[in-house]
Amino acid sequence: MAFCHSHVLKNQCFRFKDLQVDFTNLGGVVIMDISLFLQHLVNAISLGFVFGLVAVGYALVYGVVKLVNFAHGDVFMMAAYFMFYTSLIFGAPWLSAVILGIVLTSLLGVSIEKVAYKPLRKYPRINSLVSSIGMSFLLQNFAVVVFGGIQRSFPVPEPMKKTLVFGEIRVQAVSIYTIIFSIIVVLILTFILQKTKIGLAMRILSRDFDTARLMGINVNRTISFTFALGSALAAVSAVFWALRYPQIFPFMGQYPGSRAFIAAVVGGIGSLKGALIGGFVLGLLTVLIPAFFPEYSGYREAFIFLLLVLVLIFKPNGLFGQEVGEKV
Amino acid sequence: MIATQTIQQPTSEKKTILRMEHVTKRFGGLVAVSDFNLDLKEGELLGLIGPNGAGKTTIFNLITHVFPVTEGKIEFMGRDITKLKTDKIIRLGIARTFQNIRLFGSMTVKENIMTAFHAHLKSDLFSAVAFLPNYQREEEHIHSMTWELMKEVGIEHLADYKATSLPYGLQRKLEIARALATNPKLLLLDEPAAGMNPDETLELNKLILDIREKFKLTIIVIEHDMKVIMNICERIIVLDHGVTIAEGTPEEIQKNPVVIKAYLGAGDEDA
Amino acid sequence: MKRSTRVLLSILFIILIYVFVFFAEKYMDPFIKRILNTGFIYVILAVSLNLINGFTGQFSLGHAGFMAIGAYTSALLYMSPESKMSNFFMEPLISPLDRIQIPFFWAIIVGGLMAALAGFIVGAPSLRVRGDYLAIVTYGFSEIIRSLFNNLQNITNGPLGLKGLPTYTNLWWTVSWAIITVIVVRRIVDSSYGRALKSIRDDEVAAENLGINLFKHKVLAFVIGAFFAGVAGGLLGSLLMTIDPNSFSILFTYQIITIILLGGLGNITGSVVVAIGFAFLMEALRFVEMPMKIFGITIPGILGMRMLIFSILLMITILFFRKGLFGEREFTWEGFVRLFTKRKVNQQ
Repeated sequence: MAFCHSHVLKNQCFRFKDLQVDFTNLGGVVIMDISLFLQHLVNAISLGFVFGLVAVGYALVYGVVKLVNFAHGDVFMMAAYFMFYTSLIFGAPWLSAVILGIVLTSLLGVSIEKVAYKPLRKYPRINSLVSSIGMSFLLQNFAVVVFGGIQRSFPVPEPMKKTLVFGEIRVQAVSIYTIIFSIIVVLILTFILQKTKIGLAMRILSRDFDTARLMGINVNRTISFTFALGSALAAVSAVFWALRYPQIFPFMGQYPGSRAFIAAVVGGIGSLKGALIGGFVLGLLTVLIPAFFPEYSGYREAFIFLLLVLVLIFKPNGLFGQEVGEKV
Repeated sequence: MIATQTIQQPTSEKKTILRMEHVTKRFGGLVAVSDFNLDLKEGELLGLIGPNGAGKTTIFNLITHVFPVTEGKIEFMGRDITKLKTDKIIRLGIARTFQNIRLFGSMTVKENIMTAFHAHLKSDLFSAVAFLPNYQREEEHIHSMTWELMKEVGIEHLADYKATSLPYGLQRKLEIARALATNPKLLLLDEPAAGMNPDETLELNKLILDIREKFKLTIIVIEHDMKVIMNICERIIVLDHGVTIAEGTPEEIQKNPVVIKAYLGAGDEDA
Repeated sequence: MKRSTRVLLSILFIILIYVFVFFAEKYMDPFIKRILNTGFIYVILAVSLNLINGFTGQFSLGHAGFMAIGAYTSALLYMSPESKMSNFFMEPLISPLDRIQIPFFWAIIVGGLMAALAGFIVGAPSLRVRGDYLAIVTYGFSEIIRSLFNNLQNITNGPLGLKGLPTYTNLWWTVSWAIITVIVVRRIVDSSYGRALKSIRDDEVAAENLGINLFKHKVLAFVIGAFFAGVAGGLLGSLLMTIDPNSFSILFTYQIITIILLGGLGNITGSVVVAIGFAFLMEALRFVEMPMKIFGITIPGILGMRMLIFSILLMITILFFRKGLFGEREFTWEGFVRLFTKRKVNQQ
């Protein structure tokens, strides 16, 4: 199972080349044997987790500050570069480079909040929205200038390069690692949200901003932490993404970032569970559509965005979202 | 468009302008309004009072369909408006103001009022863009009507000021003038006297009575300020926790023990 | 100032512009002409986007998508059959497009109309979507278009794009369309419809409770904005002589957003000035991407520096000039005359 991507810098087109053996085509739907199906499934699940984590990071921020953070995908991109440089320049062992990268990304997220979003908090929401678009634009162009437009190769440690074989089934090691560690991350996140004081503060802020203030919650600190956490999640998903697609470039955040939006919107405004499930569904669709409908693989994007529009028409608050009415 | 005279008919002969039958509104488990009934006659000045959260504004929101009723029926001038959209209801002749003034912040006093005339604009977009004679005439008409309305509430000298730069009391008056621009037959005023001092309140009373006569309006007023309610309302309905607990003339309501228990105790501090 | 005086002054001004265009077309350096053409196309894009985002308050990120539709529709209509055949070597263009050829003017109009239709399709569900999420949906739409155009090999020629487009675009076209766009949008904004749109921007609930049909007016803004974006796309295609789906990406939309933010959301004068300025500035700043010799030292050019400078400009505007460089000050003839006379001119 290989993928190709266009050599045009700004455009990433992901087209999964289909295996030429062992499938029959019946009315557009591919019938495949169980081993192939399982391979696709594992692939889909691991990609689903990656999208899910990016989506959760984004939804976390939205839930607490009600901000559509367009820069989320680009923070994701910066994470990949941070790890590239810490491992390349400082020759750090892979795991340390990754951890350092996650920390740096969190710091980046917090700084962006302080510089670009906090000053605009008291103004109408459109200003913050526009600011996040501006940050997205800025980060991408910054990356082009500072990191250069040529693609770099993200370091992939040996254990991750392997392909595991279980009888007939061949699975990428990366996929397994992704799934395992994603689950761990989700558990850690759940723990933070449910069992810590700061997690409680985050949950309260997302419910009722004004009351939270009156209850003595340190709003600034909570928001900073939210951004740190959201950025960390972006960084973690960046790791798993870069392990699968080691070519990193300044615009690489666009695609996963837009997936995050769709996943979060489809899953439901401000619902973390929804974002995760949304990301999951997206991952599944991304892998399985070309697998089962190879003729339509190019239309995958269109199909997914269409899904977004349909969900929004029939369920404006997403699948798991709560109705947030305006008090008239 | 502006009425200049009115004939007061005896109440029993007047037509029903608004009828609400068994109107209930539930938000999930919370019952905001329960079995509300109203037979409002043309030309009436009805007061709607009750403690905070009693459901008064909710009733206004139901009438103009800001959200739908859970149960019940609303009829305006004989027509069932229960399921109609807000803008359609307004164009049929109901206007309202808001508890927390909703003026158009980027526009001037004049423009705020002029905007309200758009609902009944007959010219299409092409005529407006090409500035054809039929649109020109309408625009001139809008200009002169806006002046009339500004003079009516006494803010014509502030025409070109940003709407939100006005003092609070004048902003409320602007909101009323703007509502009048939609040429309503029924006017819903939500706490028009909020934040006003006693002098302004007296002026407001006079204004409400004046516009009722001049524009042949039926008016429902939500208020906490008893100086308004007791002095100008002919009939009062009292709500508490979504339930109608009393209905009658100001004198009757003042003496009603149920009302006093639920509400008027706090009201005395205002009066 | 009486209305008739204002109209007269405007007509005089337009005549002056055309005189300028006449001489420019004849004698001006082609390089500068190209910048001017680009600038006026940006004017069309900025003013039309401002109608949707600035005046109606609907934050749309779909403009590049409308451009793409306009660019491709018009190109497929004004290209010669031979040119189409040589382009569509992978898969032939579907009939009857392969045989049709219509004059440039009409091709642009049809391109605009197709884009307007798309504006309707996007605008219709837009009511259902909360303000900040509209940005995502329109972004999504733009990406759908890009994806579709990348795949419909027999209609758009896929990622290869269309090459060798004839250069019909010149200052006559770009200036004229820019003037039309500015006049139409200005007229809308100054009319009762404009007040309705602005009221929707300021407070939707209040607007609705004044009898304004939100759906109708939001869609109106989208459709008109999209039409002009489609026109601009068509003009741009003929200027660049080549189009492909990936040039109409979200990055292009971000550039237009930058322009309208710098000029001021809801400010036509700002959009016009900044749009033209942007085109010139983009060229002028090219030097930062070229190697420079300062004091005998060669500083290598850094690719992408232009855009970085613009993004920084954008962030500065967002944070410190929230109302843009022009704020709410629009060009008026009264204001213009007042610059030169001490007499107070009557405002009518």
